[in-house]
Amino acid sequence: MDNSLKRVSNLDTLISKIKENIIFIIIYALILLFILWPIIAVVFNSVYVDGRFTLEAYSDLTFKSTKLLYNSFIVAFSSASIALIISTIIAIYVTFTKGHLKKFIMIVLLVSMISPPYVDSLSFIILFGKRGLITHKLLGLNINPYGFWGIVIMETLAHISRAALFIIMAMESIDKNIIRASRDLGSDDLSMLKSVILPMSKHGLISAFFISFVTSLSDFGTPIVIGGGFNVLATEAYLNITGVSNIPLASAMSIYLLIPSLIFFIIYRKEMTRNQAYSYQVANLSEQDEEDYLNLPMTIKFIIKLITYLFLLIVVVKYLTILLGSFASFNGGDVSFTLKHFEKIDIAKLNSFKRSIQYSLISGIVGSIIGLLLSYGINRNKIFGKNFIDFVATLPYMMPGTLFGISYILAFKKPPLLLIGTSAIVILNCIFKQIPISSKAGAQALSKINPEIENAAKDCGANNFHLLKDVILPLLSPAFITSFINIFSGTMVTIGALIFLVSPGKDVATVQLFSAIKEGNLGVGCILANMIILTTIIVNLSISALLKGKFRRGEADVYRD
Amino acid sequence: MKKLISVFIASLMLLSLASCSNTNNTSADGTNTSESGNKTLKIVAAIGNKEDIFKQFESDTGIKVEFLDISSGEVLSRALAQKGTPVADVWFGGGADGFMAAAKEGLLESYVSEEAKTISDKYKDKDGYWTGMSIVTTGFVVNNDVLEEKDLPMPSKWTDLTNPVYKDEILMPNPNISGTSYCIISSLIQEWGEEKAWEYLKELDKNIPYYPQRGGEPPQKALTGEVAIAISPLDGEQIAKGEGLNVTNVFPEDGIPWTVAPVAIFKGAENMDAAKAFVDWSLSKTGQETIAKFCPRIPVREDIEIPEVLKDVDLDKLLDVDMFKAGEERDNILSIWNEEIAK
Repeated sequence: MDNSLKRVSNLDTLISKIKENIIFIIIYALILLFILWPIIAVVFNSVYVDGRFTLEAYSDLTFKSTKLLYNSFIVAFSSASIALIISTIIAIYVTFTKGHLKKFIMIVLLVSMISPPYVDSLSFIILFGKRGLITHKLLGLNINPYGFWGIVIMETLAHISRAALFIIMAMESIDKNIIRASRDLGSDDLSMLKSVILPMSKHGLISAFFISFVTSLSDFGTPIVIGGGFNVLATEAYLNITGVSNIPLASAMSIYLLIPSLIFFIIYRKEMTRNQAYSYQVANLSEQDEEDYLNLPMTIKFIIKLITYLFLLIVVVKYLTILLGSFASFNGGDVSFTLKHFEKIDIAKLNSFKRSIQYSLISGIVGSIIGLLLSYGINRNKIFGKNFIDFVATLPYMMPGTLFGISYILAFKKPPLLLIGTSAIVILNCIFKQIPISSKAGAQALSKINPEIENAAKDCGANNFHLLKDVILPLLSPAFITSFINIFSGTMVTIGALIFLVSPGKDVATVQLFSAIKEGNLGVGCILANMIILTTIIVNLSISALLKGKFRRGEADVYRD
Repeated sequence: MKKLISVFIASLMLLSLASCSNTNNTSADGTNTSESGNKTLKIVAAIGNKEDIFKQFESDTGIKVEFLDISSGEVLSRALAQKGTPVADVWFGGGADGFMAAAKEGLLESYVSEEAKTISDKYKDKDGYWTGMSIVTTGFVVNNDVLEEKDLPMPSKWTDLTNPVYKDEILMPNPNISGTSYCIISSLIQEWGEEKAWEYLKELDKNIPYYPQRGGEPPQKALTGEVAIAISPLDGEQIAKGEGLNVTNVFPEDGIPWTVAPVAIFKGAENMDAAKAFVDWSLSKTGQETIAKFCPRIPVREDIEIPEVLKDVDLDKLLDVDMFKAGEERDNILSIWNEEIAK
């Protein structure tokens, strides 16, 4: 008997396993507490009315709800598909052609992710409505923009920038040696696009489509403003909260709305976990070479260019309208210059604006860290229940924001979880509302990182903590930037949930914006929108410049070692 | 990689600095209020120019106000969800239906203000859960340009609106979400009797392309000329929106439906005394004059002058309706409406 060789007890393995994975355990617990628990509270509230168990709310989901669900599905599928096509084209233009204006396009994409509520739809109506400045005044048309196509167009425009950034991120991380290799093997550039580049960007394409699809399903604002008589289920759920205060029925509808999301989620998970060729390049170190550009046939080049420029034009027109809206007064259809709207910007509005920035900064940083760690845990760490956790973490995007707000009231109204009336509940809601986007960005970036790098690090003696800190997080830096920008911009313009969580005197800029719009003060609304847009641009640009600089140096360190 | 961490730490420090400056602000506010010996009164409100109204209240009483602009449906949902914890101290303005429902759910504090004695019982809850503070009249917002362009006559009565020439030119909000729309429907039913009113609504429906899901949408679309006629609340705020535009505000000759915008105190309000002081003030002569000045409507007190913009309104045309009956019949009337008219 060799006594020096002691067997490790089962308990010790368990403890060391817990120690090893403590970060992920904490992250999972946070996801369960701040996403799953509020949703359970909502479901409980919908089946337990006035102190007794009832399924009345669910039996009220009649034929009408099914029709609305069908409408929701068609809108979401159409807008996500069109957005996917257009954003792929823009991504190809930015990544693989020798075109001009690339920097400008990137800026436009970043800016157009910042879409303050109401103002964009209203500016669309001012320009293209039945009495639109462009359609009616300029072109003498009398078209009706409301209805199915109005919703699809507005939602497509809203999806494109985010989808394009996802796909650009995927395409840029493709190992450029592969492109050279396939060229050496005699492939022409068009078939290379089809059989190399697009398949290799698959994860980016899938994430982009999935996020657009679920966001569109749960969006109630666009259909309300531009839908005319066309209704979707999310709008109906929203109206059941804000109109008739029937929270159980609204909950039942939102849960019904999860069905198509769930189906697409299963497809998404399946595709994301399927094996794919990993790039052997750690990160995109070299500046892009002339050689890496694609040489596509003239007509295709032209179409790519046309669509990209058209998108640029629409975005520029939209933001110019909002910008000019701050100085315009509409009188009898005539537009004149004025500064009177600025007199209405008082201390209360400035304070609400300051609060928006604080909440968004905290959400952006904390949310990105949690989201990226989560994506690593789900996609690489073999912990049980990861599909379930990933699904839970995607839920906030699948349900109408209003209900996510109500769910926080229901979940955190009693000790020991009493958070109502604090700033914490607002910030937590913002963080977890945006978790899906950062975990998807992380998942997509991870899919490009060869797991052998991690194995190598482990062989060299790195424990999980150092692996995360020194290897994974730096490699995920592009995803961190994407995620921060998404969360920060998303939080700056969010309103649906917050109206239920902020206390009097502690509101945020979007609440002030909405109240200006309600009073018919489009000018003040535009000023607030411009302040939101400008701040978001400045913060986004400086964060990405700051981090990019840091990371570049960091990557060089890795290589020298 | 240490640099990465240091960036995070730096940003976190920045944040804590920012939040520090925030706490400094609130504590500064705190000292201010403790100096004057009052706490801050928290109000949820849905009424035009509330900043100006609250400023006047602050200078009249020395009580500081913090408010949140939120629709009455949202207030009710929030109050229902956080049952036990009040949303704020005072609920000021918005649809009376929301207040009635909240009173029924036990979310409001009963308080009969001394000042409410001069207010007619028509305008206030008999148990004192809420008190009407101004009367919201309804009517049509008509775009003259569109009328001229399409060669349409100016409507002056409810019965004019069923004229087929107005096909697709009239908008009215969905009564399921709009207190104003519901008030119009129930008032017409009370005034004309069920049979005639439903007959009328069905005829009217032929001219309405769809029922918008936001109360503000119809007047907004009439102002911009997207439709000719909007059925809308017609108070000083709405009239001011149309100033400078080629718009006519029509108070129907065959009767003006109305509702009230109430004020109420939440059950368990933290600043009960200040809340009561606010209700007293808002129903007092000074308060009523302030409200009439910044959000001109027909006052609930008879000793207050009718605001200038509403001087032409013939008060005899206000329909003699029972708001409380309307509240009781709401579910019933809406289910008929949804069955027979909604599309």
